[in-house]
Amino acid sequence: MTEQRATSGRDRRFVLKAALAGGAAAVLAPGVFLIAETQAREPAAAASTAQRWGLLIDVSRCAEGCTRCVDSCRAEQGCEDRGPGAADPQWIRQIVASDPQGGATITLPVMCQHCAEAPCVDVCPTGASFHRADGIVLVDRHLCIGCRYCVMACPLGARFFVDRDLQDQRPATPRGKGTAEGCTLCVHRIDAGQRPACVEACPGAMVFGDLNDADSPIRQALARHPVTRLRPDLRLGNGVQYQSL
Amino acid sequence: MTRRLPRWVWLVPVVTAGALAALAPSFGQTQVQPAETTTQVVGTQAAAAQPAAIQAAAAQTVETQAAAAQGDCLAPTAVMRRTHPDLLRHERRVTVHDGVRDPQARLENCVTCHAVRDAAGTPVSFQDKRHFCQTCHVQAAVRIDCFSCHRSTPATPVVAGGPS
Repeated sequence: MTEQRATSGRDRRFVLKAALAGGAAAVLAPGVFLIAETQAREPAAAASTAQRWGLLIDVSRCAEGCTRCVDSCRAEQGCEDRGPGAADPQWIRQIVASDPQGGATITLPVMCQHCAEAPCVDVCPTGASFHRADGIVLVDRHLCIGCRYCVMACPLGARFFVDRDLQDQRPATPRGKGTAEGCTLCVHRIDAGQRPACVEACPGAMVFGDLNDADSPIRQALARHPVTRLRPDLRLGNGVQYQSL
Repeated sequence: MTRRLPRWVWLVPVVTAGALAALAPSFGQTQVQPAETTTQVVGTQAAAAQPAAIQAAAAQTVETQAAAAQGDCLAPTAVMRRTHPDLLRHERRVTVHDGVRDPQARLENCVTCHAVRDAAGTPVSFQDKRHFCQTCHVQAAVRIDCFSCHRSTPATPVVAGGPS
């Protein structure tokens, strides 16, 4: 009796494994095909977990004083720039870090890391801060009540709050008073098969791609270089990773 | 103990329903016949204060909108008048959360096609009573907050990838 039960258990496991493998192949194959062709989904297709968008930033190639990523982000998303000292949103900002002992400085851009285990998504009371299927962390402003929990929860200060009436927003980037916001990884451009504006403007320090696709440039770069994630102690599963940091 | 209701009490629901039935169709016609509906819906006091502005706005909307030349947009006009809130609500969910971006169903297209231009040829924003959405929403007293985040005027094109 016991033996028989064990055998049937093995059989069930085998069937389950076969079903899982078949399902995975069926799901992955069209996804891989799409990425190889255009990196874009069909307009009517929803974002899927077949993709996981990520960024690799080579800090050694990020030049101090170069603000192309920051400027292109502002131009693309229409964030205001009222000069130094103003509490303007910084969806991407340039950080200059120095070693207190040696004195050497490094420059790196910091933006929303599109974490797999995002604290902003955890704390949001209305579900406005959410994790899209392809790994992009977004704010649904229709649901945002402006409580600013996400602003406080983000360990990198990558969330911002709009505290004034705005006019003439960019059509693809609705932003408004009383809602939280942050880097969207240029989700409207990704949906159109383009790269984020910062990557487009960067002279070569940023690689964008699908972390699930073994043939993508970002995966090939990740296979060659060791990378660092910001706040690795929190184990957030950052979508943005840094090389030579 | 129980006090009997007066005999004419049945008149109350009947008259109310009749009045509503008479007024309801006029909500759908506000753009087509601004002068009549203004008097009918808003009443004499408000009509005295607003008719010139609303009439002018509605006339300009009908004359200048690019949409008029292009015929029906997503659906026939009568359907759009009734169901545009549902369409917008549906699209916002599938677009923001699922990333489905139907090139036809974009709020950007609505405000571009239905742009109302002022004397200088500049599209007016939602702050202006002449804005396409405002022409009805002011009269219907339905306050919408779409345009506290969304742009209410046609956009100027942006260079892909920003400045280099």
